Amino acid sequence: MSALLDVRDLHTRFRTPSSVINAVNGVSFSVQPGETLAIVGESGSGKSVSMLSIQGLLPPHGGAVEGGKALFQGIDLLQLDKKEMRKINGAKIGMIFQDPMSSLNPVLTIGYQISEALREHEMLSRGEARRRAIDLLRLVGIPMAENRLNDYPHQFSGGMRQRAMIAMALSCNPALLIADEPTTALDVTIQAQILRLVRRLRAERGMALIWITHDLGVVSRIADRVMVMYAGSVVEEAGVLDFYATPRHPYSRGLLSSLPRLDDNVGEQLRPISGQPPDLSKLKAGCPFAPRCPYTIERCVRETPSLVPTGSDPRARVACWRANEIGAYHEQ
Amino acid sequence: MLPGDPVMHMFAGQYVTAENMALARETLGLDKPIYIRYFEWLLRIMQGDFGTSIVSKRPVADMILSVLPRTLELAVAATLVTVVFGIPAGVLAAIKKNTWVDSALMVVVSLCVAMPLFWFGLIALLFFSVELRWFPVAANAGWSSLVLPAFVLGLQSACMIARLTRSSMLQVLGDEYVTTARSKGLSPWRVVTVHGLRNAFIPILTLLGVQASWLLGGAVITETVFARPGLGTMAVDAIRQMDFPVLQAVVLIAALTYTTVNLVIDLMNAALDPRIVYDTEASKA
Ligand SMILES: Nc1ncnc2c1ncn2[C@@H]1O[C@H](COP(=O)(O)OP(=O)(O)OP(=O)(O)O)[C@@H](O)[C@H]1O
Ligand SMILES: [Mg+2]
Repeated sequence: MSALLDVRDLHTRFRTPSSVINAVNGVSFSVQPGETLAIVGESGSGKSVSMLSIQGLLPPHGGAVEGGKALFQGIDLLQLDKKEMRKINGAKIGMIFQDPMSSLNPVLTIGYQISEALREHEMLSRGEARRRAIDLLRLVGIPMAENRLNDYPHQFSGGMRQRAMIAMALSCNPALLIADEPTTALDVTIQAQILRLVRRLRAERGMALIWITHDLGVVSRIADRVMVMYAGSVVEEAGVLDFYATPRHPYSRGLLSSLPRLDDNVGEQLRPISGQPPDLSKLKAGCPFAPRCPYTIERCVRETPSLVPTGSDPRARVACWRANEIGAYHEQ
Repeated sequence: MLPGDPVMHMFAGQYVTAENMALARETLGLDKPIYIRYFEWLLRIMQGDFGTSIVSKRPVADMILSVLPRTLELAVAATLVTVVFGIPAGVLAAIKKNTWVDSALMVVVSLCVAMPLFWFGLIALLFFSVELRWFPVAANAGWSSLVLPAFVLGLQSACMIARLTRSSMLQVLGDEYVTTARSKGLSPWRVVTVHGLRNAFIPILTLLGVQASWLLGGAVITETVFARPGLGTMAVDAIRQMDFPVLQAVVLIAALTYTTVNLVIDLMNAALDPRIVYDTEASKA
């Protein structure tokens, strides 16, 4: 099976007059068709910037992809010109953002915003696009959809807005849906509803999903695989069961041990690990997590560990000099 | 309030008796206390009677009606210049932020905002009419005589609008819904106009309303420089000659225009921004 998305050695930097921010430093991962990859990591670890880089959606001033490949259905997205990229965005890759209030245009109706991608990519007429928008709103569970088409975002509740965002992202039946913290801004009950909705739609449509979150409770309920990012690098990737059973990177262990073990593990946020992530404009040689790591040895400060396969899963990877020792200890 | 006595002014340099002056005051109604005069004036205005000019003895309403179209024409043309040049320039500068296009536009804008209007008018007149002879110098000759005054009056506003459009667009283009729009694969034109400008336009419209109230002040200068008959020149003459009925009428028209324009702007704002809901609608919901 060939990967739907195969990202290799992605580098993205923001250049300001006074400094260079190394936001993404050699990120590699792949997503198979129909698979769900969760990306976790502290704020500022480069999760959003990685996704925006792949889609050519970095803010127009300052940020730029400076290396790597992003093969989507065999085509390197990073080599496409803007026009070709636009044919993929919204059509083959759908995107949902964290805050459905600020991600919807306040002065355009929900119906207009949903039909927009359909009219752009499938050349539908206004009337056809409208009918499709009604179907989509029904699909995401908005009651009396035909009456809500002319509503503006502020007339929708938070949960309904996120449903509308999902309808919008799914309008052209994408092969990949990227969801950047789609439930963070919602309260716990609504979160659970949105999760169920996305799981159902994923199953019905067989689409792949990249789900960015801070919430390890959510990860266990939606993901097939987990990728952990730290300071713009991938530090661990594993199947979701393996990840919870034997986290190999000390940072992952930190994240998991700070996760309260509640039976209904809904909505538990990561408790911060002590210390601060490094300044991305002053990255030095050595493991970026070393200053906060309880297992640091001299080698960690000298040499940056590379991401290497680990364990029996051929796709599991970890970037830690002492991963084997830690893994062995953990399995006892 | 204007200092001075219109009656003294009327008879300046003539030999008049005190009785004559008193009589003149009485016919003009100037002997009554100011609040009585104000209410009398209000009553007459409501009946459509603007009085007669002290100087020309013509009905003020006629005088105003004869020049109003010229000033309106100038104001509309100037507003057109403001919108047609100011908004695209601002949008262009925002899209091309930190490039030479942006810098060049912003230098022009700063220069033109800093320039006094009368000076700008004179320079434009000298250059385009006297040197290049593209337009008539002073003018009642239809459209060509309108072009230069409209530019002189509208350009400064256009520059202010350009500056506001740029900053408003920059702010809006950084908003998340613009990223959403881009993530849908829309063309840059749609992203900038439908998603960007629709939102950025709300503060721009408000400034346009404020500028409408400056138009009359600007018209005074522009009409004087270009020797165009209009409300502006009429106001200047009225002040010079203490022709208070004319002046009162001009001020009234300025105030009415200002309130009307701002009402229209408020209605347009409500049409543009669905989050603005009037009380009646809110109570229905
Ligand atoms: N427009 C920008 N200009 C400069 N730096 C930026 C910009 N956007 C992001 N960055 C930097 O890139 C780094 C990665 O940011 P990113 O948004 O990808 O983090 P994240 O992992 O998504 O965090 P969060 O969980 O808070 O969303 C951060 O250090 C941030 O400061
Ligand atoms: Mg983010």
